[in-house]
Amino acid sequence: MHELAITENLIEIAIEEGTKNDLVSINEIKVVIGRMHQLVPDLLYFAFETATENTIARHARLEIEWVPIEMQCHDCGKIFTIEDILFICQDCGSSRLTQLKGKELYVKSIEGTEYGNHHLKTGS
Amino acid sequence: MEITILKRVLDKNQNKADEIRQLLKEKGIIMLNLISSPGAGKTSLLERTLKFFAKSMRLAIIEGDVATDHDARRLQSFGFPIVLINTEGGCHLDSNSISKVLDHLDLSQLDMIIVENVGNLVCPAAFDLGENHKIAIVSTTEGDDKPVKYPALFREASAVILNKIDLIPYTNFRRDEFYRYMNGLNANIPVFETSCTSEEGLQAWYEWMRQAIVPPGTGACII
Repeated sequence: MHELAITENLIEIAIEEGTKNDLVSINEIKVVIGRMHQLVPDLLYFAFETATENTIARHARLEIEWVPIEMQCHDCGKIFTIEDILFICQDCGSSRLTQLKGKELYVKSIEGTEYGNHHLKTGS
Repeated sequence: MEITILKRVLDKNQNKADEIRQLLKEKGIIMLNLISSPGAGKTSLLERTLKFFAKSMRLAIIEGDVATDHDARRLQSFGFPIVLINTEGGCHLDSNSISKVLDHLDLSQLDMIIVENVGNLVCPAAFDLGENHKIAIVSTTEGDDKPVKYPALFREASAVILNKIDLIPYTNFRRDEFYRYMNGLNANIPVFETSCTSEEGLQAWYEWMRQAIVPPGTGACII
């Protein structure tokens, strides 16, 4: 269940940046996650709900952009996406591969309400 | 208002791991991170390994366990320093917990630190501890498809130990399938077939450990 530790870390980053930018609430947190991490979406959303309680991100939506595992073959140069977890070139069968994508794990952006606009928004 | 961040989620863990790696490099210490599912034989392998190297290598053990000091106590009799990290339910060790316990070890007196991670094949693979090598341990009783189910670990491991090979006749473990999966993930790393009961295959693992502590460029070579 590394989903909890990872979610706590991403919320911490979002809140730190949100506070730095005078946000009174965070409405959305966008993260990019490579499939190589084998994170389970439901566990991420569940952990997110729990870990945002009593923070400025308590009403935030977690938006996940999943990145497939993309490899390049050393021998024939083919670039392809791994579907079945067997890391073998789909063209020439070589197992000498370099991973190009799929290990990403970062907070892309947050969207929130600024201190000045807070009253405007709640008042309207 | 949208704010672009582009910050790695595990940045804090990574930064601390990089600090540890640098510190150990300065001290000339190699760190191994042993990762397996519960019951694959990490502690048994350590018992054999510590006994073998009792007089020829300066080792220390960092023992990660969700609860109890049972494993740490099993390893006490070999005379090496052991520090225990109880994660109290946590499913993996992180670099911060390693950094804290390094203070309890005399780093000027060590060749190698072996970390026994919490029994789990998924989570420990995501958290860099500052180690030089991740070692994946898998046992024949767990089935032959572990590599393909946990690609992150087997892609990153420097070596794999296939333990409990003495039990193959009593299981449905298929060696050819295991190697087919292994070759499709990480064809270039050594796989050591071992039995900690019969001690079969352990010599090759000990030899790998010996080579691991030889600084590059000192003339030692494997033929």
